[in-house]
Amino acid sequence: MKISRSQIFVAIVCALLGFLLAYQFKVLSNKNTASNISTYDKNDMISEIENLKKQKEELVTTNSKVSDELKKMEETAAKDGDLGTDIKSQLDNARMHLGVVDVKGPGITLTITPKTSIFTSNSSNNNGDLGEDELVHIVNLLWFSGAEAININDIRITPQTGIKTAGNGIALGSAGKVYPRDKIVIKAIGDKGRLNVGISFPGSLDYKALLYYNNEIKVEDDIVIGKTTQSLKSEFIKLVKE
Amino acid sequence: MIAVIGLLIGIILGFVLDVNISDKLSPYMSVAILACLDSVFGAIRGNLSKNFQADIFISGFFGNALLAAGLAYLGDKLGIPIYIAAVIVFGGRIFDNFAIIRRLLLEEFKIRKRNLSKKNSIEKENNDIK
Repeated sequence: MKISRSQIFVAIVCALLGFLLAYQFKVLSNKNTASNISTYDKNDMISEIENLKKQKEELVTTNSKVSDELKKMEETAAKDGDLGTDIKSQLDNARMHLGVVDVKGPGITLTITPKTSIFTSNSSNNNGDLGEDELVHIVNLLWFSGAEAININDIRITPQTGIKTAGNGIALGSAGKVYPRDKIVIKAIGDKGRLNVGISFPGSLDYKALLYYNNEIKVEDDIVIGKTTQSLKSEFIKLVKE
Repeated sequence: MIAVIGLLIGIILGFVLDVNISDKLSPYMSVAILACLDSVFGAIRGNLSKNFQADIFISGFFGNALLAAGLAYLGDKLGIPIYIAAVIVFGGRIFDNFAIIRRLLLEEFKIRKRNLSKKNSIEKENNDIK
């Protein structure tokens, strides 16, 4: 059989096509196997989550009972003298700052919703999604504008709350997650005028992916921010005695 | 025949060799493969209708693949899914080519069958005369 030059070229081109097909097939099947791990034992995971939720509810009830008892004890102790009252008010202040008690006061509510556009309707295109950077930026902006308490989607931001992208959401410490494609409501208590100026200052909310989000700022007189569900840790810090 | 051998060698190499192509290029490669498949179907059609030209096939193969991948990349950068245009055009052409290939093969099959029956009847007549 005589093989012409053009036939050799055709064979090479077909070999290239075969190679590309096999390679792409290999890559995509590897990806599918990797994603199957996430669906592994889905039912077990759901029941585990349910159990943990129940445990959490029980712990929250116990926690509030213990807090009430502590409060009563503190009040009884405070009745004994002026020093006791001072210590009690300082303790209450510290608790408010730490986020372990519910607080209320004037402030602002910032609602962030993703813009809907024909060009961003493609679900696989998540370049314009909100991430940890944008949330950290907003929280930082609020602290800088004199916020005294902040919560994001009813999750209180404490001095120990870290904000980090985790999977398809953004984890706020161990207290919960917010999802970039959902509505995000950020509440802050503080000097409402200062907070409003700080957050609506030109360019403040044009940071990275925030450009692809609509934002609405409401100034309110009575904002209630609940306490954190995350326990504050003090395993390693020790008081320096003079 | 030689094309099939080439294709098989390519598939084996693809599974055996551990080549690392960046994951970022994976979506562009899929569109490029579609363009390549279109060229191959075009070549089969050309071969069946006896007007296959290797130079046109090879230039189309690489040209279409590069253009499709380039368009997909450009679309990604502009935020418009241009790759859909490539998928629709090449997908449509693959179906068109396949329809023509099917007709050509069926016609050839019918002609062969007719020729065979004619041959058989001639042989039968010859035998009768003998």
